[in-house]
Amino acid sequence: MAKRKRIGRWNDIATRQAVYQTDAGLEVDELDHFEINRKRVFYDDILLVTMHRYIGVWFVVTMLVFGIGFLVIGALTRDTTAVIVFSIIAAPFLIMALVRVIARIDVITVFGKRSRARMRFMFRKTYARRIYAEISAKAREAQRRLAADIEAAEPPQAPPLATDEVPMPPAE
Amino acid sequence: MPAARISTYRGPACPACSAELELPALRDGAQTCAKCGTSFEARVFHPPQRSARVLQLAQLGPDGATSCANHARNAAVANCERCGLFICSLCEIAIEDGTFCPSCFDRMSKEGRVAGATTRFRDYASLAITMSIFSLIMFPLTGIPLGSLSIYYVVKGFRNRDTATAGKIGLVLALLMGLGGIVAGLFFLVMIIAPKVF
Repeated sequence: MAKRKRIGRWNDIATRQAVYQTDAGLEVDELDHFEINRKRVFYDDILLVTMHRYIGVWFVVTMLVFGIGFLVIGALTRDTTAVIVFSIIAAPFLIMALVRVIARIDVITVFGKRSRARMRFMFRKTYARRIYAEISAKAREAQRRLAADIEAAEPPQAPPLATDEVPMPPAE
Repeated sequence: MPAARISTYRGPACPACSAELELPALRDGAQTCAKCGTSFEARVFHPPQRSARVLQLAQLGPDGATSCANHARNAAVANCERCGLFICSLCEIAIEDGTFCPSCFDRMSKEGRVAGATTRFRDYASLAITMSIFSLIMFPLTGIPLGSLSIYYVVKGFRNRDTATAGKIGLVLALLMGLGGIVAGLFFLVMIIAPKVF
């Protein structure tokens, strides 16, 4: 089996995916309980590579609801100890919301002919940029090589005959 | 037999809202989705199309040509290395292990004998970690059996490192927890059978 390197992942509520880089393309391993489903996006099949940045409004809203909720509960108790305890509980939620708003998430999406690979990076922005450039360069190189192979495999076409070489019908 | 997975992938789309994109209209550089307004950077590719050159029997004449077993009008260009069937360039599947006909390739893929075509794997690392945790938590009942099972999965995980989701550290941790579960289970067993030992 070809040696592969883990370059990114995509985890959300419903999905756990890890993306690996091989010589031929990307392998997307999706965890399905104790089974792994593997999809492949080959470099010579890539149609589009995109990179964008997003905050994730629902995540921020959820974290704020929990954080502010715990603060409100603490404040309603009117007890100093309870206020401190609930503030400590609320802090991680508020910090997570703040970090998400400040850092945002870089997403690289690789669209192949038959499958797609997605990776997200929260803190490693330079690494994400490097992976984006690397995938694009490898796809460009693989497709250039494939085009050259196809051209080499085509039989050479006979040059069109010059006008004076075209046999004329015999004169009657 | 695992249920067939239905793929919903429909080609290049907006990375944020999944609205379909018109690939010929896209250019390298900054783009904005017309539907959701998300800005994204794009690199567009136009992969060359592979095409098989099919030799027809009629072109080659009656001598020196054999017809493909699946396509009577096409000339055979190879024979399957597994079943020996004569195959044309449409049927020819060339992989690292050799050249095969479509039906042999299908069978080999289902049997998991074509490494590059396998798409489902058992995740031994996750199994090892889960079993070792349960062996520790419920050591009076399942410490010995689940601990032993976790060690078995750790060994399988190390042997199939290419398909493991957890790294070396995860497997070593599972091994230690599994051993811990076995030791705790044995300790509990001895405490019940011969409490005077301790």
